[in-house]
Amino acid sequence: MERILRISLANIKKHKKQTALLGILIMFCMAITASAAASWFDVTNIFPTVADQIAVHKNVLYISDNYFDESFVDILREDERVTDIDHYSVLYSTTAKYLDKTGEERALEMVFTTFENHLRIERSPIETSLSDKEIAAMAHPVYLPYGARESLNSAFTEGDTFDVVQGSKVFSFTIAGFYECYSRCETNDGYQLIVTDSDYITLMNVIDKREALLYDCDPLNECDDVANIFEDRLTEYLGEDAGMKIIIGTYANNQFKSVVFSSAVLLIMVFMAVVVLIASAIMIRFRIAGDIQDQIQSIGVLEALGYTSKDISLAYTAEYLLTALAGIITGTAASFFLIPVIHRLGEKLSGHHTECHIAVLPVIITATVIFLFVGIIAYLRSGMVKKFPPVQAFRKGIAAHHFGKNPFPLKNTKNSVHLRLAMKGFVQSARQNIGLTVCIAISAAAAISGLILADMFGSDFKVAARMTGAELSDLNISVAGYADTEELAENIRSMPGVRKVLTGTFSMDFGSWKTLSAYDRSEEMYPVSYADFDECENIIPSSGALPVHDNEIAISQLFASQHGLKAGDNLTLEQNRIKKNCIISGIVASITNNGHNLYITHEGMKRFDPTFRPNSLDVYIEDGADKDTVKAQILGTYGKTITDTRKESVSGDTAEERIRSAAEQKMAELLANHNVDHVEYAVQIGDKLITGTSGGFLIRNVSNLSEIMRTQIGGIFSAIVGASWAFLGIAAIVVAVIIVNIMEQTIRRQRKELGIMLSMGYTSKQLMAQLAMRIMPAAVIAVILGVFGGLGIYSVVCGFMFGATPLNIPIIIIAAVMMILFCFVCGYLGAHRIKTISITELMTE
Amino acid sequence: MAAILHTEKLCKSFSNGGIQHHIIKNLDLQIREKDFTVIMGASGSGKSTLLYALSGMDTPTLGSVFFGETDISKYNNDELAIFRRENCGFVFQSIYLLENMTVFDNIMTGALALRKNSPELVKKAETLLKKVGIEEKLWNKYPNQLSGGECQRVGIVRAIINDPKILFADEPTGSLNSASSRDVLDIFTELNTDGQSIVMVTHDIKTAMRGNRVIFLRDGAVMGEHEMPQYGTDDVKKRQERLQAFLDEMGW
Repeated sequence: MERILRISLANIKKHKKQTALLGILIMFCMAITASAAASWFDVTNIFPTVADQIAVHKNVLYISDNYFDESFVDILREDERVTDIDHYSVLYSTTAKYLDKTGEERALEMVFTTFENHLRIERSPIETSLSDKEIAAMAHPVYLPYGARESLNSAFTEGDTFDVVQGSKVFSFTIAGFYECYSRCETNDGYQLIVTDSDYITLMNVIDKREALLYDCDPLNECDDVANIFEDRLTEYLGEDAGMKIIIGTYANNQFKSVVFSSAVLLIMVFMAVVVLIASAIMIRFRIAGDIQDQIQSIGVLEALGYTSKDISLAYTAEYLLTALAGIITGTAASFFLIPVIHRLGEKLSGHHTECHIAVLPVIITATVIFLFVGIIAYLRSGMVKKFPPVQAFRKGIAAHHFGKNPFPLKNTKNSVHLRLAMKGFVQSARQNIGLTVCIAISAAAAISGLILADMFGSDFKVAARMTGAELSDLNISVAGYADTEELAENIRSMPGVRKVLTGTFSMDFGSWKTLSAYDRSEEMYPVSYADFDECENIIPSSGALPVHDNEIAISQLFASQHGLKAGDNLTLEQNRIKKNCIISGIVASITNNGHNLYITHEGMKRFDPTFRPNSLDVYIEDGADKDTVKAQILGTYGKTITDTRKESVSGDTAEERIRSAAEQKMAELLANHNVDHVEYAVQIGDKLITGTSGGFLIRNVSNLSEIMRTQIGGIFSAIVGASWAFLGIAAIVVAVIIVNIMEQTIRRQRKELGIMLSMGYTSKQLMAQLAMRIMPAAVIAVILGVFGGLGIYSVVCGFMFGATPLNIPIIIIAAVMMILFCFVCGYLGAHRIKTISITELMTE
Repeated sequence: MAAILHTEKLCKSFSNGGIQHHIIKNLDLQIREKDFTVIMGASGSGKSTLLYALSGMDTPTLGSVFFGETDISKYNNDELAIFRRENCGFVFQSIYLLENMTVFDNIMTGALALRKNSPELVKKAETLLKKVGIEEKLWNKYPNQLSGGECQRVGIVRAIINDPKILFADEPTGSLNSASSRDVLDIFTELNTDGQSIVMVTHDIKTAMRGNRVIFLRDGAVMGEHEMPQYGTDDVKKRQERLQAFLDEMGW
């Protein structure tokens, strides 16, 4: 054993740089895999752990207050699986915004609750760096979920001002502390804010009340089923669709939201580690083959001295195991730094806190797997020593003269001799180039899939926006049911700064949705209707076409995958007991409304409801025009929105003004929440009769869908983009290490040939370029394979959810070209050792 | 005859284990155009070191090497490579053919380092190969399929394919048998007769006889010079006796 180790250590000493490069790759692999494996349990269990620690009730349903009655509790209790029920009021705003640290408005769902009610859903202490005295001095203290402090978008600290914008009003709070929040704890889900009783009462004037109906169930994993059955029973009880009145926050729902993005990041890390491990295996094979060829005469001497081929194979295996051990030790050390970082990321993405445990077993398993993997690869490859008995080894491994075809004969050189020499070298190193091609192809596939993700979830949201399957216009206006939407659209279209206005049915005003159903009412479909889909800018079919005729519809990729539907199939839809058969003309990448969007023309909607009228407007602003100015112009022309008016306090200098203000508020309330189409009022004061109608209220609500999306998922997208860039970086490092290693070996092996060429007058730069060019055919083939591989990975991973989402082809082409150039640069710089070849030394050897 | 190369106070030293070894010491030397200059000396006298310094394979520690009026000792590595490809040809003792290339490709590698490919260039390579006695059937063979003498003749063709202004040879017959050595030296003589300037290092008197000027080095300095008529124009026996006398005088 000692003599084997002696040979191994001598080899390591001789090839310090290459050993270090391999050690770095193994270190990367170990660090990434061990940290992902060790964090997996903690990160994916953040929510269940928090739920067990703090949740008083694990499921919550938010039901519109003006709709809720005590009998709902009994309906819920009818389900035998429900073990405990509680309910209380909260203020729930789907249209609120907050000002981020830069003062920019960001849309965010907000649930306002009091201390007392907060303790009815979660028992978690307030964490603050402020003293009681400082908090007591605050006029409007607010306690935010941890998610607000850890936000990837805009992190707040104690003492910061937190401005809530509701309609035209701004409520300025001071952050007094943070707490572990069970539900509504990060931007994707909205925030639950704890405010003082007096502030709660103030907010009641502007924000809708909802009843938070809390329940526990046994078994817990059937909580979603309990919620669905409750919804069905409620629909039956009320005789109308209850789905739109309930916002579901079940345990399963919260669990999914808390882990989906953390899991994606962890999976990306594991994939990265696999790429690095494959690269390491290829590098080990290259090096052993190169070493054996270099040291063939020394091997002959050792064999002549009585060493068996097995001894020599074991010496090589030991060399790589020692290198792997060094990589594993440093990688393990690095993973101890990385694990807390992953935990922090998991916390940021889930909005919850967790204790960081370093699970030792996954680290040990990872280390063992990598160690064995390296050992097996090295032992199998070093088995080639057996091919060389001593005498053959003395002859530099030549058993018999074998001469192949002369590739690229120089007398046929047309242009550059360097290119031809490079091609000659490429063909003569065919086996090495196959390994290189595999390695670069895997790295390129990893890089391309990372790039697609980074581009898709990048800061401009273009591709991510496309996945919503909705028109993310500059202003989305929900129109009152009695208003003439077409006339309103025509008028707004003529306003300065407005580029285009489309009439449709998609808005943030959930009460205005009139759903259709499929599969015998088991699937609720949300109609996204436009007169002409060609006018849409963000709804693009991933396959087939958008509907044109009244019997055509398009469905989401998710819905199509779930039901095995494709373009050309039929689907029967139902609304108000009218059933119609529709042809699926196309599939759209769409994740809004849980993939239950139904794309249908206005004429198509009229088949179900002849009185159908569009009830939303999508307003597109001209380039350079100001969104707020256009919005102000619209509101200036058509008055305040129903949403804003019903929550405004009564105002006015005279009695008549105050009466009109109160009447408008009441009308707005009726229009918004009681399915009222028209209101008239008359108030007599003495001889004076004050009259009015609701005809002035044309606009229910104005929102900016893209802004809402940006706030809700911006942080998560940032994390995925970060992971994707890390992915790209690791792929680049792997490619660089492999190419530099190949160059080093080539120069070592062909030192004499390169020296001869230097003596003939080839400059070192020309030879560096020649060596770099040698790998280019492999690089080009590998990058092409990698691009297709990357697209394959992307389509498999994202295909189910989004279908064939639009890809940024120019970026992919540019990236492929950059990768090819990167390979050349790595090859060129990696060949710099040519400069150290001394012709004189070579000639006098 | 005009000097094609000359040195001024040329010094070359190497460091080994912190100890400086001065191989060439303040050497002033002229190499004349169209001469067949032979450098002789005992082992370690600095003859190969001088050859590499003269040919731009190596840079001097001190002093200068002039090619015509140009001081090539100030050139960097890439400039020296360009100088070599434009002006020099090399024939080595160990031959140093590129083993992964055929005979013809070995020659074309040298030729294409300087100029673009053309039918004339291919023709020239073929003519030279025939001239040195390499039959056509060997042109597509690899070096390890050839004898040592054949390899060296290929090496000579590779060295002269670009019509170098000066041909350097470092013990070109050192690894050859006597018959092959004779063939190779005949080629050198023929080239010199055609006007090729040659600088050759050797420690073999029969090889040295082919030159018209013999420079004897000892401890990095020129100990003496011996001029002779061009080979083949005088009596070989007397030529050898005179050269032997010179070498004896030098302490050979």
